[in-house]
Amino acid sequence: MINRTKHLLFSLLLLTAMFGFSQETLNANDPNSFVLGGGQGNNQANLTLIPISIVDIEPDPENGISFGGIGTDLEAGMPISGGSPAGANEELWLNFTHRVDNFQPKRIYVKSNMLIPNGLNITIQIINTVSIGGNFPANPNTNPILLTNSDQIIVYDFGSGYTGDGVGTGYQLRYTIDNTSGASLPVGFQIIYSIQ
Amino acid sequence: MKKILLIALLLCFQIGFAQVLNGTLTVNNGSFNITQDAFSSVTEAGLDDTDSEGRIETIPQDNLIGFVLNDSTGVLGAPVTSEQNCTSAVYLYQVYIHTTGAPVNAVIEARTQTDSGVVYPPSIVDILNLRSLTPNTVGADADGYIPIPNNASQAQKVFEFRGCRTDIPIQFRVSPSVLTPGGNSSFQVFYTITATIL
Repeated sequence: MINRTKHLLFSLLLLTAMFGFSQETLNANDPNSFVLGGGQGNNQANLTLIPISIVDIEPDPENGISFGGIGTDLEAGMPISGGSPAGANEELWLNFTHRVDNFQPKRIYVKSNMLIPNGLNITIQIINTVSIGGNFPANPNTNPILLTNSDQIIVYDFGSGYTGDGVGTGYQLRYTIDNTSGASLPVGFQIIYSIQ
Repeated sequence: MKKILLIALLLCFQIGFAQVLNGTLTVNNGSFNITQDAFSSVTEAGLDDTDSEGRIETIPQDNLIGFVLNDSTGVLGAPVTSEQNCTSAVYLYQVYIHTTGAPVNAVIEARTQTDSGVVYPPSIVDILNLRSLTPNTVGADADGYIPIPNNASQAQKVFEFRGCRTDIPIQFRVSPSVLTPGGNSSFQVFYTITATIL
């Protein structure tokens, strides 16, 4: 009898505690949860998000590359060339972050910031697409692009997304140089990527 | 022993079913704005916008709510003002928030500060802090923000207070993804208040 009474008292204590303590979530669809002495109201939040277009070549900031004109495999009578497959640079990766504005797809373009000397050809090609920690619609132009100082498409139409940051994610680039004339690139020469 | 059980049982019924005076929830400002600028968006290519440090915060004063008891009729039919009811009756109010139509891939959070707002009626001198406001800490981050679900069946408790209170500032923080559509959009914020007898 004493044990039974203890159990009853304990149950009542739990019941009392249940009324006294609160819950973390509530079904706000159920009016019974707030109709007695409570209430419900609402207002409107207006959200404005800016469009975002950021593109980057990794590793950053050390993303300059060099093609030496004095190689160990030079041969008399043959052109000086950095464009052999063995001399190609595949260390650079294109990262981007993009939020679409007005549902308009964008593209990524590439060009040089100044004229390229005659006899010197620079080719850029996307050779790999990887997403590590990213979330983006991949649509690369995998054809080799002969660089000029005019915009050319290197990534076709895409929507919002982000590639993940750093080397090893996004679009892997291959740079090759065919330098039959032995020309040097002008000081300040840059390759420019832009989202348009 | 039977008497003890009876008293305990009556206590439960009293707590659970005693009449709570009706009140009115006031949500000031028909709408409020959450606007992103270049300083609160991602700056490193490849990262999502949610990775940025500068998440978008509202100004606390942009969004105020309050809850006061209604006017009523006394035992002898005499009118009792809201102010009189709020002076004599102190209930525990718990505030749950949810949204509807929130933008996809955006995290919306809310917070308020301890004892924010104004005790009603203002003439009450609450020396013992019996009419306190306490933010919920369960699920809150170091800044006191709690994620708000875009789901009415899972409205999240954000804070609770005792007694009538007005002008309680609620601050919102939004962490959008770049996958969240750009431009202007709007969503509804719902505040649900439950009352419990202390």
